[in-house]
Amino acid sequence: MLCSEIHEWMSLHADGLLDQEQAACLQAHLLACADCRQHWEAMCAVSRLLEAAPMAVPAPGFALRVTRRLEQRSARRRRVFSVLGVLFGSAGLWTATGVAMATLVVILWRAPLQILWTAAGLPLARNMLSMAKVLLNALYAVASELSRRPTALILFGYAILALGLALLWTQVVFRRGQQITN
Amino acid sequence: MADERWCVARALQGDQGAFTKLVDIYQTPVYNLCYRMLGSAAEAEDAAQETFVRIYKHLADYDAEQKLSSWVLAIASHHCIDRLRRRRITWLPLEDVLPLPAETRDTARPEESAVEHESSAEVRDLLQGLPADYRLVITLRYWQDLSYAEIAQIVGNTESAVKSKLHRARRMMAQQILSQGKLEDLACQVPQGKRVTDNAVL
Repeated sequence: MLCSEIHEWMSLHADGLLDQEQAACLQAHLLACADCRQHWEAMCAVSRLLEAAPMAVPAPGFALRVTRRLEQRSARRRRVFSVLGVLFGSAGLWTATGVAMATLVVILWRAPLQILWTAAGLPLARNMLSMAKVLLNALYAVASELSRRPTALILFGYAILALGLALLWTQVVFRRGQQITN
Repeated sequence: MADERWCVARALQGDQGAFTKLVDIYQTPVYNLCYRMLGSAAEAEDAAQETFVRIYKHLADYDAEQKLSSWVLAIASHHCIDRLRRRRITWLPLEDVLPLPAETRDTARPEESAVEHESSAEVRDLLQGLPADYRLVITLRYWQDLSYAEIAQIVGNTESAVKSKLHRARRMMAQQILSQGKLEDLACQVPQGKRVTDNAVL
């Protein structure tokens, strides 16, 4: 028999799952093969070590600690539900009120609303569009200036990197703070 | 068995005392499994507590045809495997990257110092040298004394996969002690025979 097959049999033998014939075959191989014999001895030593290791038991009061954790979870869930209830309830209420008010305004004050829109709404939208154009032009100017000056580009990259690292560090400190609080 | 089923039925009706009784029955196998899988007393305590929280939440899903112990151990096993997966991508605690003040460095938590002094540090090293799924089948085989079929049911593998994992795990552990030249030490150190009856508080 091949040593690799014998190795598989060793594990089965350790669990008492080989029949007499197979066990005799294994013993014969072990007598003839020093490597397999050493491996078998190591496997037996490991098995004895594991069998002798005691069951690990928790410190006294474990059931009480589980009960406390369950109560904490239940209280936390209740808190979350009540906060969500208040939030969604008020959001729903405000939305309903807003919709009702808007509908009322549209129905009753259609004409004044149209005047307001043409007088203030349209010029405001036009102004916002031109502001956006100005901002985009400014950004384009900054980008083209950066691309022309390598030093400025390096400084810009450095600033972004420093900002990223600062954010990362803040996150680390924040998580650590949460661990300590928990 | 009937007692356990009664506890499950009562716990489902909201009887906290019945659930506490279930915790009492299964705390040792669950804690032992967590400890052997995670290798730390503090983590095992947290994982075992979390296992019972999950059991409580999913008690209604328990199929009475199944053995309760298998169901409980399956939940504990999956939780430990999840933790070990998360451990690979978890952020390092700050004290692992920054030097600690001198006064806190040597004052380990009581449960950890107890573990440090336990005689089975060798066992822990052997187990921690195994992949998590191998460690799981070894724990279920040696400490829970389960058959291949029962282990297969708990870990969700076939019996032949369990047989193969046990074989590979034993081979890895044997090679580990041979490569460290510990065979003679172990032969002298470990008494022949079955597990000692006293449990160790870890």
